[in-house]
Amino acid sequence: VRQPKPVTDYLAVLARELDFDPALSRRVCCEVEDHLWHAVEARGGPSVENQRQAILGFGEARELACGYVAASMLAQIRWAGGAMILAATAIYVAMKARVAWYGWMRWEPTPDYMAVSAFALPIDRYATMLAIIGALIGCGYIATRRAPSWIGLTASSSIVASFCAVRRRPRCPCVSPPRLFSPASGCRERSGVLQLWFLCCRYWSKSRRSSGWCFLFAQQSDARNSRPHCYEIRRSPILARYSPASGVDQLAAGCASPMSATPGCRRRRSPDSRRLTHSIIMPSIAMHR
Amino acid sequence: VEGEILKGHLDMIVLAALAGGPAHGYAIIQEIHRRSGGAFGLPEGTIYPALHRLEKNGLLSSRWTTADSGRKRRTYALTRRGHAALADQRATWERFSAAISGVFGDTYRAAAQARH
Repeated sequence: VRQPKPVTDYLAVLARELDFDPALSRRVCCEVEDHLWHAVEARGGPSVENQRQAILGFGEARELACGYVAASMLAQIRWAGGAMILAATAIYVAMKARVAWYGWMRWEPTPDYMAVSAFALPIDRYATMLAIIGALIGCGYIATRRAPSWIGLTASSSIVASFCAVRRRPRCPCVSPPRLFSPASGCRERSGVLQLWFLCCRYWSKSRRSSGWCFLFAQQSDARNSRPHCYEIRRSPILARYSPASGVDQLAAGCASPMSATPGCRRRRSPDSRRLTHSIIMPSIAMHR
Repeated sequence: VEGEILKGHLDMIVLAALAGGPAHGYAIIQEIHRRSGGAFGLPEGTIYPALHRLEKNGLLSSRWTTADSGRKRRTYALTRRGHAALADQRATWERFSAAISGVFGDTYRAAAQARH
């Protein structure tokens, strides 16, 4: 028969609840372990009953994890988004620098143009693909981060606040300056790969009703006319996961918190909320040149 | 004390508990318990997210130490900003408390007059 070890079991549960942030999990578990053993000693010794009493006084592991989830989630999203935006911006600047270099050198297409384009244009293309791969890796990273399916009212309200701060127009997910990375005017072409990627993102976003702050980013030169395509930074609803009954539209219409408006919603769980998708990356429909 | 009211002032309470000097989580909760006369019924674990939040905001600093038992222990201390924030919150609380006392004082007087 296994000897009951309430403190050890509790720490295991806590580590599981905090596994959306391993570093935080290690730190908190270490602190909580010290706290619990201190409390056990204050109750007279490491008996099972004393351990149970100490845990009872400490509170549920899930309650504790909920106190961390919002801050941790937002930090991860910002980190991933910032890194991706930085990478995409670097690629964009490099490509623009190359175009500027051509202009400065007064480079005109010559009969040798085709020979040059044979390696110059692929660089463009591969740089763009690199940006997209980076975006997808970031997307995968963010999507696979796990968080508890249950989130406290305080935590959710901070997410709502951050979300509402950037949300401006109902039914229109795009809130950022559309020409953040782009020069002036539009170009409607989209490559097949990007079109497919966009559709996949859209489908994924809808089917999971997941959320996100969305980023990015890529810049593509059109092989035919060397016109760069830029993608807007977009944000899509973040709350659907936490409050499945209340829709994105409700949030968009009033920027009201469905969580705070619904009594008892703290314990509601969305069907897929086991795996909390923090964000998705979605390229813009509009492309600007 | 109602939990929601308490949670709204948890940061201030934690800062006040650390005003006496550096302490680890268990000591902080014991200090809060002692000073409040056991009036606060929050689970002990509630202070840890608050401690981490305050540290992230630069109001607390922390470092690992080793307890006599050999366990690792995180000790928190107020920073200069933390001291300033505590003074600020204390002043705000005193104004608020005085205002509420005034409101309730009038209520008591009115009730006493009604009884007489």
